[in-house]
Amino acid sequence: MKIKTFWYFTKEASTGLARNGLMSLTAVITITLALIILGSFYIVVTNVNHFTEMAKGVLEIRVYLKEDADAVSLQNRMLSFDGVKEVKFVSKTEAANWLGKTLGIKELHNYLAADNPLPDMINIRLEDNVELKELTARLESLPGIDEVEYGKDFVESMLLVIQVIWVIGVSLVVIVGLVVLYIIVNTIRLTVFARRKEIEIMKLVGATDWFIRWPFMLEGIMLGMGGAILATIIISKGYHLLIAYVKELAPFIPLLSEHMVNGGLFWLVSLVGLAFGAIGSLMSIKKFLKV
Amino acid sequence: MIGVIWVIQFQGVSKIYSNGVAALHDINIHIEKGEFAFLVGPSGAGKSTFMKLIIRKELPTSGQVLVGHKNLAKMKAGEVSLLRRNIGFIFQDFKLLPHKTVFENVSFALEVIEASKKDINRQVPAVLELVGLKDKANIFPSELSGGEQQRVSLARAIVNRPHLLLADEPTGNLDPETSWGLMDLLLEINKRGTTVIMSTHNKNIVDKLRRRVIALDSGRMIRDEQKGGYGFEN
Repeated sequence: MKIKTFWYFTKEASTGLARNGLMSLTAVITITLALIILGSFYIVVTNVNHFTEMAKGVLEIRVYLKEDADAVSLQNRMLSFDGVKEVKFVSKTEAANWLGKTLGIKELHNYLAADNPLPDMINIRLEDNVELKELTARLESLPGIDEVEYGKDFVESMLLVIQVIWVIGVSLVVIVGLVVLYIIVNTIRLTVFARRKEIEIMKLVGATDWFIRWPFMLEGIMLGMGGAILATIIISKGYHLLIAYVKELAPFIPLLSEHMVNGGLFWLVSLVGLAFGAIGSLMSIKKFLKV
Repeated sequence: MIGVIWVIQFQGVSKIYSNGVAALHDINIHIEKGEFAFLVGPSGAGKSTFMKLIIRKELPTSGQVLVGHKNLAKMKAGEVSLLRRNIGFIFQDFKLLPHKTVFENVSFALEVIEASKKDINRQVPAVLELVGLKDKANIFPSELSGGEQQRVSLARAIVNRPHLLLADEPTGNLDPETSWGLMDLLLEINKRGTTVIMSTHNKNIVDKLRRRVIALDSGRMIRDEQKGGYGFEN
């Protein structure tokens, strides 16, 4: 594309925006609102992901041993598994002591000493990003293992939450995409209609279809990107306030910092704004190119 | 399309529109480069469809339209653009852009095919001089008379030096004197080697100029005569 042509396209696109000033403004505002919904959801998702990963990191797996188990060799083998950070052997006596202390019954130790029903146990601290199900299966396959226990309910409910989030996320992208598309199609259609005579003449004197399309596509992209930039600014300001608020009221909730979400937020929102802006423009002009 | 010999051929061409209207029926015709041909016939005879087939705005329902031995139906979108860059078109209603000046209306045709600034600044004044509107380059179409507006339209059509000029009832909105002014220009352009096909209801012009006359009636070609007359009762 020649530079001169590029400037021509930009000039034409800006003229189109200015000509329908109020409509363009309404379009940008509506697109901004739609993208704010999408962007806010992105912030929720990244935080939930972050929280889940963190929760995995502090999780422990408890492996209960059978009476005849070889605790030392088991510990060595466990340490060689992916995702295992450290292992700690807890004997049944220690367990009984801990239980007695926790329950506040001193006699429990004495009582249990005679015939301690508690099993020996190995506690495993995990690395981040561990595949829990896989690791548990490997642990269970070791000899001398009675039972493997971890925060199964918690992990499974988190997995469910993540699945639900995915479904909502994909639906949101589709719905917000359609909203943006609808607005762009209708806004650009006004410009296209106002300039249908020019388009007809352009076709007749032999301008290529892409030459005719570009200014309208740029106009759609400008609307989409305008909305995307506004949405990013508003969400990022809002999130900034939220972080400060949460730090004050509930400091134990681990929110991601702004600079960790802003980049991804901008890309997601811009991509949706840009792609649907361009597609919407192409849809608006399609009919008028058949000259 | 450069280097192609601009022969226009209709081979058994029929056109039935999707709404069922049969506009042309079995048309066979051959127009050589450099010819001047009138297309005559009552309204609805198929003259406009004939023109639309040549610029490939429409495709024939059956038969073939060939320009320079190339079948228009087999052209890709890019080739159609190139074809149209070699065809000038003027209309009864001028089709000028009201918010552009005379100069801009003409240069528009060059800008949208990405002609260089140098070419634009050389060709536009030259063509405006040819049609006698050099002094009115910077005014808007609404300030011009009908005859002048049609000359702007003509300037736009020929600024890219087309091989073929199609004129769809160009004198339809003009008074007799202005019409003759336009005809002089068309004859001059033809003399310089451009093929001209002009559809018209103007008996006076056709009868006086004695050029090739192709007569259509209800979609059929009823006459094709060198140095013909109008032949219909007006």
